[in-house]
Amino acid sequence: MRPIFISRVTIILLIWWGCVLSSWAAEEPLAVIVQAGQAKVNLGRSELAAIYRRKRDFWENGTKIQPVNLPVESLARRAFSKAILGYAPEELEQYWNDRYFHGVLPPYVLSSAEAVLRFVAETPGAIGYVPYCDADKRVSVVLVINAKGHVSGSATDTSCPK
Amino acid sequence: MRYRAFPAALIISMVFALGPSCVRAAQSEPSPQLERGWQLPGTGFTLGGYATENFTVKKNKPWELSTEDLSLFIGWEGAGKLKFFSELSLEDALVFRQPGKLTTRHRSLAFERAYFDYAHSERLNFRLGKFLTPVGHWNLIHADPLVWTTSRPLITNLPFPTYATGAMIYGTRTVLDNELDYSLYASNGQEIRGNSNQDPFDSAYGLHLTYAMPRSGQLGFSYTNFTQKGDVGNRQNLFGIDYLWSRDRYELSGEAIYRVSSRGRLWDEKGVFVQAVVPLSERLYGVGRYEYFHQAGSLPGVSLWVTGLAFRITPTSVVKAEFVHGVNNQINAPEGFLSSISVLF
Repeated sequence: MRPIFISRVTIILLIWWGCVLSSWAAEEPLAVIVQAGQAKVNLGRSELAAIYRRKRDFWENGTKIQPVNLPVESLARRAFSKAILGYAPEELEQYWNDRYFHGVLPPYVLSSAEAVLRFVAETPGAIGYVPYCDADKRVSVVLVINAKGHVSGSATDTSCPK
Repeated sequence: MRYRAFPAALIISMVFALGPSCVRAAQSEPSPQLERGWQLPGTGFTLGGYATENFTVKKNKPWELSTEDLSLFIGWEGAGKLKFFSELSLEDALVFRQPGKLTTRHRSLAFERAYFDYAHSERLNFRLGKFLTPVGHWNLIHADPLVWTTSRPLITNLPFPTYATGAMIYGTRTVLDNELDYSLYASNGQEIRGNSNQDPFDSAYGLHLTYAMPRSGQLGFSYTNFTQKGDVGNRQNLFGIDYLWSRDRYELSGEAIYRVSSRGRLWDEKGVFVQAVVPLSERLYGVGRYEYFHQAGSLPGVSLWVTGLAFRITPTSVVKAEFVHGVNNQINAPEGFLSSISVLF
């Protein structure tokens, strides 16, 4: 009987933890960010997808676009990938293998939201995404991706703890 | 002697095939890091490539273990709009054949690709140099780690030279809310270290279109008008369509080609293949393919049935094994057991 009890507890804990993770991922929008003070950027979902699929490499003023990603295991990366590119990161492995065969490299990967903020703040032409409440004065928010994957210019119903 | 030779051959060949990826794994990753390739810090240069080790027991032939391909990518990309990419390939570097003979005399070194790209915008890019002929989908991604079988469908390399040296215009446009990739190209037959096993273009021009439909796959169309150095008087028009759909790790793909010769119908070539990939477990896939190819001449068309497995060790390395059965195979297309391990690094 004991092993059965343990396995049930384990399953309940796993379900609970899964709910915690998914609710965390579901509640906070993502902010798409560029360097503070960067010339006005006209972006929509399709333009952002073209940038992150490395089909579009230059801003309108000729500056090279430097997109950065969070690690594959990051919930923010998964949410961004599904909302903008239509696929989970692992589903895009074949796409990036194909593109790499043609000399096109996938976006750089940075280890944390803070690393993305620092890289974008210091690199002209850089673009990245972080959980909405992590974005600060160092960067400009150009798009917001809400929990349902909808893309808009601002997050009207999100309050961040101070 | 032959029993000792096989393990030795396997070990040496594995070192050839897997060595580059092990070296890469041992290096500390720079930050920010790339998911593929190795970037030389501060230079704009990226190194990468792929390696393939084959083990085959073809019908009516002794077994063979060979380092099929060792390719090195060298790419350069600065802050500007110009970039460079090249692929240097060493083929059949090391071949072991039953009963234990080792040879390197089949080796060949070739520039598979070497070109400069100038990006005016995502809609308009210019390419100059040697590039893969944009016919169908398979030829554009033919590297072993990127495809599902060790064997290659006949229509993806026999009816046309797989490389062209010349100029290309390419880009992406939005049509009906979906992406349309296009490429227009021309070649006057110049060669950059040609591939000895191909009859290259004497002159060629053509186009390739790929229309991506989310959820419904991508559909491609190819057209090429060309002559080859081996038969300059035979002008050929090649028409092709290709299709690729993938979802939830399932994949369905196919290509069809019809090549019309100025010499008459006897010189026409045509063929088709359809391939399905089904996930069997987290990393194991089942692969099935049917292909038909009618070569120029009076011989009947050949049908090939391929059944195999592919095990993805990582997203960039794969072990493949398959059986190929031919019907009316009078052109001696490879039949039997074919397997390989390949790594993209």
